[in-house]
Amino acid sequence: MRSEQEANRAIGQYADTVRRICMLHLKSYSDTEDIFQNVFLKYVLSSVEFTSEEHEKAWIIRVTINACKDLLKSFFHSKTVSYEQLLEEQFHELQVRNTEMNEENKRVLESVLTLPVKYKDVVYLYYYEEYTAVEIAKMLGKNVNTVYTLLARAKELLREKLGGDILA
Amino acid sequence: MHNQIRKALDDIQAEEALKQNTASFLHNRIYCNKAEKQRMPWYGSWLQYGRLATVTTCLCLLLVVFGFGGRSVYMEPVSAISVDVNPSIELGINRWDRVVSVEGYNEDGTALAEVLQEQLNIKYSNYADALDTLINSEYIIGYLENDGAVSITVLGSDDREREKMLSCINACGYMNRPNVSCHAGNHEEAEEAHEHGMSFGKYRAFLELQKLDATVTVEDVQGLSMREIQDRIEKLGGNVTEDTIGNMQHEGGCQEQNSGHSHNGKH
Repeated sequence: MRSEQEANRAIGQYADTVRRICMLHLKSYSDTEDIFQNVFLKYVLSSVEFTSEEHEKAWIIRVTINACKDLLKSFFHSKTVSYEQLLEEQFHELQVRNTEMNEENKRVLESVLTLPVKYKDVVYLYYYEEYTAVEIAKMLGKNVNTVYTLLARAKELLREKLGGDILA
Repeated sequence: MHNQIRKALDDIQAEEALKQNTASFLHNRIYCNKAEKQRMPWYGSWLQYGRLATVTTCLCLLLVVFGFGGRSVYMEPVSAISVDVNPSIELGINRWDRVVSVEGYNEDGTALAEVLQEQLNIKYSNYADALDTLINSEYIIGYLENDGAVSITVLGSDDREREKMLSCINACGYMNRPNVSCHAGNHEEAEEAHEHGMSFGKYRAFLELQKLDATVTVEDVQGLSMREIQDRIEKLGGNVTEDTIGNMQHEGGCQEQNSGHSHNGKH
């Protein structure tokens, strides 16, 4: 079991990463709180020995994505909301928490959030975390060609939503 | 596109309250003993010396114990986890959280136990890792995809151990999966279960069914899968969805067995 100091260090270091993945997948702030608790509890109790910071970060990302998917599966039948409501809730959360966001960033974020679920992780991992398709395939347990296909389709969808200028 | 997406996502940051709440949660759940230690009064340091002496004595005793029967102490299971689908298996866990025995309680369970030991090498691994390997194995996934029900029952050596195991299972997120339920068993039931040649997880489900239909015998359920037992409970008016396939119903994330006996897992 890891020490409290290690746990606090991990929270400080990876909270933003976990928050972004939660933002991509979840419907409410309370779900995000649940995921935070689950991810970092699992981190504390895990006996995995990390060989590097990158290894640790990749582990956190994988666990967070799996936790989000598990939560969505369990809640899917009993609790569904429309995308409009989801976006409204998420932007409201950001506004409430004094996060200032310019119109362009808001438009890009909205486009990413409204992508079908299967594209969100690859878009986030490729464009934001800058992992390679090979690394993403390993992380998500997918075929490398599948990752390339998902990226190409996601890019096409984003182009449709945002127009060619922003993607230049 | 990299820059546009990066800029947009950069705006999302974890709120301080979220970080604080997570740290507090871990503190209360895992590290509370350390907090108690920090609150220790002035004579605490003397207590610490006392503890040091105790630890030293224990180490000496351990040396003696390891000299004469270390292996048997290591191999002695003090806790257990029963996983029942159609295969029924029990993982025996020693005081160092290592799986020291894998036992099947029906034909499928025996076959799965062999695979787990010989191919997936879960013996002597940490129980959380072992459970992760088991739940994500193609055998269990296969049952889940065919609407099978997976029941995980925890038998802790004491309250604290049980809570730790439940927290660990909760953290692994199994409870969020459809058709996976988690329970806490007790030692008395486990002994009865073993007398009948059943895992304690399946025996717990049998007792639940017997509450609704007193004519049901152990022999009746021995050949049934967990899904079939749960269907019979549901048919008899038992609240399977809420009471048996429990999802995160309380802080521990799993349901505790209140069957008239002390549910702390002690004899």
